[in-house]
Amino acid sequence: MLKLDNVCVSYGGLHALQGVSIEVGQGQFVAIVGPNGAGKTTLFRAISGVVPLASGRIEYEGRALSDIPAADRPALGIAHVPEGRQVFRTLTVLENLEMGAQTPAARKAWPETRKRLFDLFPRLEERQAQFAGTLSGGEQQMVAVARGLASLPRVLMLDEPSMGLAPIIADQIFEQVERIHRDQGIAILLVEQRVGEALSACEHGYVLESGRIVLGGNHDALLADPRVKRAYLGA
Amino acid sequence: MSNGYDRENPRLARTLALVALALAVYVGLAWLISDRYYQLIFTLILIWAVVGVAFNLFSGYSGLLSFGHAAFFGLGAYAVALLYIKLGISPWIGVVAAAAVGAIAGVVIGYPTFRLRGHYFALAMLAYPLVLLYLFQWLGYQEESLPMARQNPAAYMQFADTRIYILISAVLLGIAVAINLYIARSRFGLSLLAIKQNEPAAMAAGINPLRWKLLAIVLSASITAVAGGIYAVVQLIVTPESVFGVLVSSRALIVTLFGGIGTVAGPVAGALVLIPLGELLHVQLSHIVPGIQGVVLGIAIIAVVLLAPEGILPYVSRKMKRNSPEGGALSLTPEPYVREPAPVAIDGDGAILEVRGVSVRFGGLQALSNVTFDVKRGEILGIIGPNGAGKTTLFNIMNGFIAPSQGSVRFLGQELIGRPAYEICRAGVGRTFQIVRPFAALSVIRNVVVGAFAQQPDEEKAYEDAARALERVGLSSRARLLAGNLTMVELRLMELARALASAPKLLLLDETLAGLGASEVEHMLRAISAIRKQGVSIVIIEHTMHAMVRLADRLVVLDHGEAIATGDPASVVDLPHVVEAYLGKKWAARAEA
Amino acid sequence: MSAPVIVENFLQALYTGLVVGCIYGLMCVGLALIFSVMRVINFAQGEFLMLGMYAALFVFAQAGVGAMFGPGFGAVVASLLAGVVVFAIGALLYDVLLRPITGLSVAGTEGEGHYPQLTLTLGLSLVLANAGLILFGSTPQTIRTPLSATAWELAVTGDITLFLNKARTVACIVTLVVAFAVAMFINRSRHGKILRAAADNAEAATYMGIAVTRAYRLAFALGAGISAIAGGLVATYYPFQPYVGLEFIIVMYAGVVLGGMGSVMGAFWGGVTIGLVQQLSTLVLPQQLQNATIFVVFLLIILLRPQGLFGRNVERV
Repeated sequence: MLKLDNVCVSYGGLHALQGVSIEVGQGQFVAIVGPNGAGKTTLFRAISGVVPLASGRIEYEGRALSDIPAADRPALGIAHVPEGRQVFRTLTVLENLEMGAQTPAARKAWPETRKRLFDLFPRLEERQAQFAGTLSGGEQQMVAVARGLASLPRVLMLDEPSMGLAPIIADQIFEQVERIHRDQGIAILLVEQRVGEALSACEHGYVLESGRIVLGGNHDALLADPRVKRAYLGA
Repeated sequence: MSNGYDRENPRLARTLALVALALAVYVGLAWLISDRYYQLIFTLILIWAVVGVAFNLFSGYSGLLSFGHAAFFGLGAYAVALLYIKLGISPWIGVVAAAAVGAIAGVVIGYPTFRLRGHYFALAMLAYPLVLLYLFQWLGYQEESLPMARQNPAAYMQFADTRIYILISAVLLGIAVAINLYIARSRFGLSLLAIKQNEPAAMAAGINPLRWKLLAIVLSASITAVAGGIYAVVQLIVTPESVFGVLVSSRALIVTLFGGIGTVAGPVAGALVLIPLGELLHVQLSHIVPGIQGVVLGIAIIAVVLLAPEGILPYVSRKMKRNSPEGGALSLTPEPYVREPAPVAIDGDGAILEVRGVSVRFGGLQALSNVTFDVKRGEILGIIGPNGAGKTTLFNIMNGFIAPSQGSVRFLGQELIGRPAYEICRAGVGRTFQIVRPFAALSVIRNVVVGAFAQQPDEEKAYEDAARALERVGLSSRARLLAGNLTMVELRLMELARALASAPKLLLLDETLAGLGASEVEHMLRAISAIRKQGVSIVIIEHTMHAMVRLADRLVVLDHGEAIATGDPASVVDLPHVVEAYLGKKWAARAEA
Repeated sequence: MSAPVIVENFLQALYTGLVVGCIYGLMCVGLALIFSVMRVINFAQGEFLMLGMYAALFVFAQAGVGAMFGPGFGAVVASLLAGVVVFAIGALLYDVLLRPITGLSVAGTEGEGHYPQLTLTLGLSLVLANAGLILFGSTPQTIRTPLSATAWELAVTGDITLFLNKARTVACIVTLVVAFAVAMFINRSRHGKILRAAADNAEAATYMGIAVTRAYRLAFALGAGISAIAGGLVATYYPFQPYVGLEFIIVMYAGVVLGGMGSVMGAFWGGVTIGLVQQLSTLVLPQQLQNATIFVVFLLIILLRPQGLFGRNVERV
């Protein structure tokens, strides 16, 4: 469904991604793990169209994404929940969610979507009139995920949802993500530092280090592989 | 002049001679003109060139665009005019007074305004000349004409032959250009450029931004004021609008932008092209199309910003360079470290740096809690931890950019907290930055010498220190290469050399290895080890873990703002709570099982 | 001077200050909208005001709106139509000139993105003002209506009578209505929220499928149009010529900074405050120093309290 083929991205003189090839099948849960600075966020930004490719291609449902400008990609069904949450701090919770539903299809379905999102995240319904900037980290993460879901995506990309959150809260978010995957059949592309959690939830995973895919495999294979730890801790 | 590395200095005399020649030719040509109006244009070109050069001196090098240079121009004009009209003082003395007035105005305006960032600075600078405009209007100086001096007009800068003014202006321009040329190569110019490129990095290299900015604006304002004074004498009439108005500041700006900001020739070239254009349009067309000068100036500004933002001259020269073969990037042949640096014995015992109970909060987030560790003399200490753990925040505290809410950082017994970054640098703590922004158009050694100036005010000795620093990282062969031609790893080495040039006893390295390939990483590791062997203690933040476990003597692991482990790399990476911090609870749990 | 005279002068100045202040407030809203969404300091905002004045004059006199709707109402309609005209001009200017130097690649960068924008809008200001001089000539104009020179008399007490200039008062009321409409648009409408989202976090907005460049264009055009409406209203009681923008630009900046740069409605209150300061200062200072007072206030705010007085204190990421 989503395919990256030998993708290279450069920033200035730095090669952020080199020869990255990844596949996300229909409704699959794919995890990308790797140490800091590996290029995981760059990967998402490339898929969303916010950074240009130096070479390679990205295909979505058979179409090359290169001709499609960044603002049009969510309409195709690609939702991006960015690193650090990036909620609209000066907008209310409800307005944040509304902003997630800007594609024509999503706008039509908004009333039902809103109900569904509040069922999924009751805390957000309580706080719907509050400015998103005043929420706690965990609540902001809920807003970011719900905002991503509001566009009725077919693939949901989550960039380090657990970053900066206390482990318990991160676990809760994680459970919600897994639930969404199960109940709605949405494909999930998850970038995470917490390898164990990511790899146990996913069906298929990749390890990204210094801009390159160094390992790929299904969930069992990766969990057993000592090279994963080496990628993070050097030994 | 005996400075072997600074090949450009012998050129200074040559360039000055060229400038003098060009001016002589200009004046010679102008001497042939008999029409008074054209003589006036020739004079105005020079005057606006002076203003452009002066504007460039400040804005071009510091990167702070001043939209209010008219304030200095006008004050100079009125100083000369009023001293003559009210007190009968000759403009020859008046221009000296104008220079003083300009200098004082520079300090008065600069000191409060430099505290402002970005757009606030621009807006404030815009306001100053307009305030003065209204003030002078209200004070009744609507129109001040300089009366004829009956006796001995020359003593009052009044000449029947208006070509003399061209000569006077040419001399003034020559002086302004000479000052600019001299400063561009000196510590002054390099410090300003460093501030422009990256102010925090400049502070970490020992540069006090306020001091240099003030010096720059004082010099710039002073010269601009003198130009204003000459303008008053040439025009024989001063109105608030003509010397404080927006057109004046705009002319200074566009003449410089057009020709090329940050270059010496730029403002002169800009003036040569734009002033005659503006004046001729004004004369020929203003009765049919009033305001044509403003339209043309405005279009010129827009065109430059959209099409050639660095200015016409640099744009043209870039286009020309593209046609000539690349002075290609030389491949990096590692300097033989076989010539091992003589190891330096560690002097004294005890820790070189003691971090005690450092905590800091940002808004609702506790970025660091109670972090405590030592850096031993002569060791390489690695600070690691997952994303968001607080590593860079810790560096920023150690470096003087942020103050912690609690705790202390003692370096060789002195408390660092509360001292500004440039003082900490001079005390012996150096730092590199992740994003290296070199002066691409200057040579490597000029880039490095900026660091040396922190400890060594004497220019020659500073260049020697810089050369030594380059040797320590193995980059001596690149000393005269333009920094824009360096490879990524060479840039990192240059950054390292810059930090070393200030002779630090403790070096903070911020993600020096990020984005480098395997062999490049090896090279950097060798360079860093060599530095340690010479007695420099090193603290390094890195994510490239396989390199860190080889390089570091000890590791401190941060997670969520707390120091969760300290010890030698081999054991630390196996500690369960460290594994958990990086890879998550589940992984650690399985690893235990 | 006797007590009633002093009180009368004070009340008169207060009234004028409030009325003029509301009109300044609307001008400031236009500028603040552009700044808060795009982070562009638009030096040419005074020229948008000026274009609004001339557009209103043209629509009123040449296009017959004055004849159609009568002098009072006609002036109001003319101002609104002028807003539409300048809205279109603003959109065009954005596409041609500003798009290359704003937009996602520059959004959020400090320092780097600023100077090209500042310089370009300065150039634009020069072009517009001087082109105006060529097209419209330098003779001062106004939209002369019977309201311009007449006033309602309000007897406060036996000795104290206030003169409420009709044109200014009407202009003030229209201003309040327009400002209210703008506030509703920004806070309640979908496009208003899109603008706020783009202002808040341009990158995240792109991830939502919001075309940030389109949002910027809307903000710029709207900001231009709003200031133009204010201009059209001012034209009913203040003589204008092509360089009039310079006289008001500092009022606008002072109001925006006072209101807290980045707060659109705060700018409105900032403008009101400037109006009050200006009018009240005439009680103690000579007339010619009026404008200088505003500059001084502006400088004081920038130097002492750059974050302004009225803005909401939500930090931007």
